[in-house]
Amino acid sequence: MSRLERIVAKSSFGTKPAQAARATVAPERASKVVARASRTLSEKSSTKRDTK
Amino acid sequence: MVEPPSGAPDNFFNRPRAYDLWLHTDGMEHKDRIDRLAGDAVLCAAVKHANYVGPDWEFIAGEIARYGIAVFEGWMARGIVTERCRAKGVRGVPSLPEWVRRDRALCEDIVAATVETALIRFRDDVLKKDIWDPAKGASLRTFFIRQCMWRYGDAFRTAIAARQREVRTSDIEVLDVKQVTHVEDDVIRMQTAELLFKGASSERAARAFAMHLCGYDNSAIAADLGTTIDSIKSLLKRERIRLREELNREDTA
Repeated sequence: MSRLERIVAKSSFGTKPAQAARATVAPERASKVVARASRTLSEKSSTKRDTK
Repeated sequence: MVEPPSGAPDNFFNRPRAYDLWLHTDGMEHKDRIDRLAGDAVLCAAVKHANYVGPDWEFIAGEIARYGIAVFEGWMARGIVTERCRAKGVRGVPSLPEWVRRDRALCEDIVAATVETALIRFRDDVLKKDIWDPAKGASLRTFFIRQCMWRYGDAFRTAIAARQREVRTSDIEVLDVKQVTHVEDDVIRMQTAELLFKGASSERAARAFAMHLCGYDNSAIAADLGTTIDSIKSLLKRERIRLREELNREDTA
């Protein structure tokens, strides 16, 4: 188990019900959501930089 | 004994409420809760250390997103998402129509958009601003789900509007791509098919079947609906079986 996996496992996202819930979603699907969110964030920051 | 979390705020165990809970030894529940809050504090510290970017953030955000997706998809599938959000005082939550609940692809889009926006706000408004306070007793998980509840209504409305636009646009395209002499014929067949499929399992299924009856091949239907040829094949198969069963029922009635 990696350091990050251990951190998640000990948090409230690591309880048995939460773990079972997470297991129903493929990591790839979540990665896509995170990637889109990150893109939105970086676009937002670059717009902020441009307007400065 | 549980060690104080390395990334926890300095006064984590000294705040009155957390301290009370920490001393509570009646049952494991409180101890577990404190352990989880401590774990949440470590998670917060980890993403802060990563400056909310890069592989560490992406891994943790991915796990948070997986949880959010699972919870909201479950609520949508069971038709209780509106009730759950309203119960927590979230305003402007639209009701979930049956046709949306049955359209799995649409539900997935709504949930993905909900979790995506929630993740952005969770990072910017909760984690970065240190809004979450373990001493108050609510877990990070609760904070995140609450954030998703606030974002769900907008995500729902945006996805539905996009779907309606998509259906209207593709209606026009369907008429345009065929030769003019065949348009009238197509329209009649399309209307007949749509009438037949008023009770189809989803708008997508009705549209796929209507296009199929108009002579479009599976690849054209797949392109129109933004999906794969295989999923169109199975969708048409399912609809054929459903229609046959319905016709049989009518015959025997």
